[in-house]
Parts: sequence; structure tokens; C-alpha cells
Amino acid sequence: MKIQLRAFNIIGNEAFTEIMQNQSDNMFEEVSKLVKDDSKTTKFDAEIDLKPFTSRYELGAYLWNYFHSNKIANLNNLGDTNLWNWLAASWMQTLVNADQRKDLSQKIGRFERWVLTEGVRRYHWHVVSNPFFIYSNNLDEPEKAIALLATDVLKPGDLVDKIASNRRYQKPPISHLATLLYYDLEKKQLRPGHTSRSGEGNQLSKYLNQIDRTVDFEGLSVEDLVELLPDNFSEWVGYAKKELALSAKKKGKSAN
Amino acid sequence: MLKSLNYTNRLEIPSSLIEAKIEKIGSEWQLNILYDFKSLELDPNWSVVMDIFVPGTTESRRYSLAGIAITEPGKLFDLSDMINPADSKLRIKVVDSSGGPRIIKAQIDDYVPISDVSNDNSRSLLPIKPGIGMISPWSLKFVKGVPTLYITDKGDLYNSLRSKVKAAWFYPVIMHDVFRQIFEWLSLLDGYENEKVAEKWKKLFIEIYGCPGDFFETINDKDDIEKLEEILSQGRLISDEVSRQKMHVEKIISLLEKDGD
Repeated sequence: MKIQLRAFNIIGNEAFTEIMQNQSDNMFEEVSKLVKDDSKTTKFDAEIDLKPFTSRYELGAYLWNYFHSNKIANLNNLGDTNLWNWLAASWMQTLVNADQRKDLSQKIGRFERWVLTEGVRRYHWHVVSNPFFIYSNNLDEPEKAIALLATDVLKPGDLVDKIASNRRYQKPPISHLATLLYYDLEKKQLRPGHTSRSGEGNQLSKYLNQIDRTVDFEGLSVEDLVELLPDNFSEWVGYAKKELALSAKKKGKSAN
Repeated sequence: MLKSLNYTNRLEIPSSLIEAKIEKIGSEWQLNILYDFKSLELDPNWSVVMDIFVPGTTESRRYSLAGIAITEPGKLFDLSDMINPADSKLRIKVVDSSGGPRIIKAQIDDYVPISDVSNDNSRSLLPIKPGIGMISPWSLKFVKGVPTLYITDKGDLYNSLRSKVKAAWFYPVIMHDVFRQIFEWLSLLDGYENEKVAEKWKKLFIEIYGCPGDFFETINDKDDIEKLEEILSQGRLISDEVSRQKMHVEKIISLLEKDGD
């Protein structure tokens, strides 16, 4: 269903924040009324089809294509929290319906999942903007960041929480490193233990944080990064080296 | 307590060696940067990289710079396709890229370029600017009819306190009083230098923070003493409501608990 694209104004944004903080029984009705309220929103001369999505990758790609194929007049910039919050509010019912889980409170979760909150701890929690930002930050080869886009829109998971919380880890080469370590490209799913076994996502984030002042790791190739990881990552490094060897073999074949 | 280790003799680059300015020219956003690190006696073969990032968001761009110095007229970078370019900060690293794991030899982080533009979004309702040489840590001033929060530039407090990440406690501690001052200023004035901004603030107080809808229309009908008492009393209610809605007390408690861990 296509609807006119809008953004909240400051009043609408505050009202949406309050609704999501309270999460009353009438929440969906209140939100549905708010997103169409002319006094609390700004209209753009464009329509958007708020399709049902469960995949973060598909949602990110859809939004990127939408914003880059439509020249939207008067749209400030794509970091406007008022825009993302209006999108989240308008999409909420559809996304909730598309999620197969029964427990509504699990699907909705904390208000910061719908209200874009600046700050490293919560910015990446926003269920609508985060897939878009990760997709945009890996635009050359978004499939190499699949570890951060592989999960469901309303269930992003721990790897997103630990890796995508840092702006420098959600783009190459770290997003690619996370995919090589924790994503099984053959089975098309995250590897078991990616949040529990030694060398899991949180430890990767902590390790990079430790060396951040000493090593310019963002300037390293993914092959060099794999070599840089300490012993507690050995299980995952094994997977990564296998993936790199496979990829090199494929490249060699296509070159011949 | 945060400890910073330095086993590689890494230098902290003084901010005085850099000049960077963000400008909006038409619809284009540009960063102009010049710097001279020659006085740091760095190896001229080392490479210089610059990360432009917007704190609290996912925005981050990386550029290679041409050597240890860029002199007049500087080097231009187009930031037009960045998200919130006006809020950008810089991290500049001098890196030994002669092989091995790219060791950082010198760096500066969280450098704030000069910018006389702010994004036209919700945050620009209360611009935050450096208070040059200000004695008080912060102060609210009304610049051409726009409430503006000034933070002293002494001891780099402006850079530290404006960051909601570095100083998460700052806004919960001051914001109720900032709102109270803005409310009193709005109520006491007969005419506004910037009608548009004044109307936005009035709307905010009425629709969000519980100010009676006819407050600003009726307040001028009262005599001076009654008017002042009502403004002060309503200002206190607004201040409490801001704290309640923004959960300032809860945030401070939570930060103190984390600090105590």
C-alpha cells in the first residue's frame, strides 16, 4: 500500500517518543493517527510503499533503492531522525504482522527500537534505519556485510548489537571480517556459537577497541585483519581462511 | 577509571596545528582543511588518513591526505552526500604504512571543524556553540531571537560537554533549567526578534510540556506582579515536566550506578 512520505515535525517526534515510551494498549491506534496528522508531520512530494519485510538485507536494499531513485524535494538529509521515526511509526504495524512470533512485547521491545536515539549505545537499535545505514555503508559489495544484515528486521540479534554499534565496524573491512568469521556462506546463516563461543562477536568488538589507538586497522586488508586476530579467535579464523581460499579459487577460475 | 596506554610512543597532535572549516555553499557541503605537522618531526614517508564522522550516528568517511602538511589554500572535501555533515568531527592519524600492521604514530581524535551552519532539523531549535573565554561552564543566550546554548571553550570543555556520548550526564543535569529560562524569556517579551523560532518554542511548551494553550495570549493582560508570579510558577512546572518526560533523574541515577560498577 503506497502512502505519502512524511517526516515528523518536532511536536510529532516528541509525541511519537511518548507513545513508544508508554506503549499503552491503544499504541497502534495512537501511532496510526499521529502519522497522518498534518499538524505533526511534514509532507514530501513522494509516495512510499511500506511493504512487509522480515529480512534486514531486503529492507536495507529496498530503502536504499527508494531514496536513491526518487529525488525527494525538501528532504533535509537521510540522517533526519524525524524522517526515520515517521517511517518506523508508519511501518510498525506491517513489520509486526510480518514477524511470526506471537509475543507482541518481544516484537515491539524497547522504545529506542522505533525512536532513533543518538548515541553509540542505542542508535543502531532502530529497526528501520539500521539496515539502511549498514547497506549504505557497504554499498560496493553489500553481500560482504551479510553477517550484519542476515537476521530478521525485528530480531536483529547480538552480532548486530555488538558489531553494528560502532560506526567503524559496520563498514569494510570490519563488516567483511565479521561475515568471514561468523557467517556460513554455504548454509546462508550465521554460524552456531557466534555469540557464545570463544572469539565471538563481542570479543571481536572488544579486541578492535583495544588496538584502536595503536593500529590503523581500518586501513588493513581483510586478509591482514584475519592474521592479526589473537589465538582465542582460532576457530573462527579457520572458517575465515577457508572462505578466503574458496573466494580466491573462484576468482582464479573466472579469470581463466 | 579510564587508563590510556601508549607502548608505541604515539604522539597526540595538538589541535593548534590544524585548521578545518565546514561550509555550506548553495546545496553543497564542503570541508576545507589545512595542517602542518612538520614541527612534530614525523617521518615524511608515513601516510596521513582522515576519518570524518558524525558522533552518535553511523556516518563515517575515510580519506587519504597528502603527506605531513597541507598548506594554503588547503584541501577541499565534498561532504554533500553525508548524513548531518554540519555535525562532523575529524580523526586524523599519521600511520607507518611501510609494511606490517599500520602502526599509528600520531593522531588527533574528536577534532571539531569550525562551522557556522547547523542542520535544519529538531536540534537546531537549540543551537549549541562554543563560548569563547566564558567563565561559567555553560550559559543560555538569545542570539537574534534564537535561544542558543553556549559552552565554555576553556579546557576543551566545549568539545567534551557537547558530546552526548562523552558527557552523557551533562544534558540531564542542565536541560530542565535551559527550558525554564527559554520559557521565561518567551513569556516576558512583548515582541520577538525571530517570530518563527518563538512560535516553535511556544508550540513545544503547549503541546508537549503542559503549558496551558492560552498562556501566552492571556499573560500580558495581568498586572506586572501577577504576571511575573505566573510566569515563574509556570516555568517551574515546565522545568519539572521536561525532567519527568526526558527521565533526567532516572538517567543520572543510572549513570551514577554505572560509574560505581
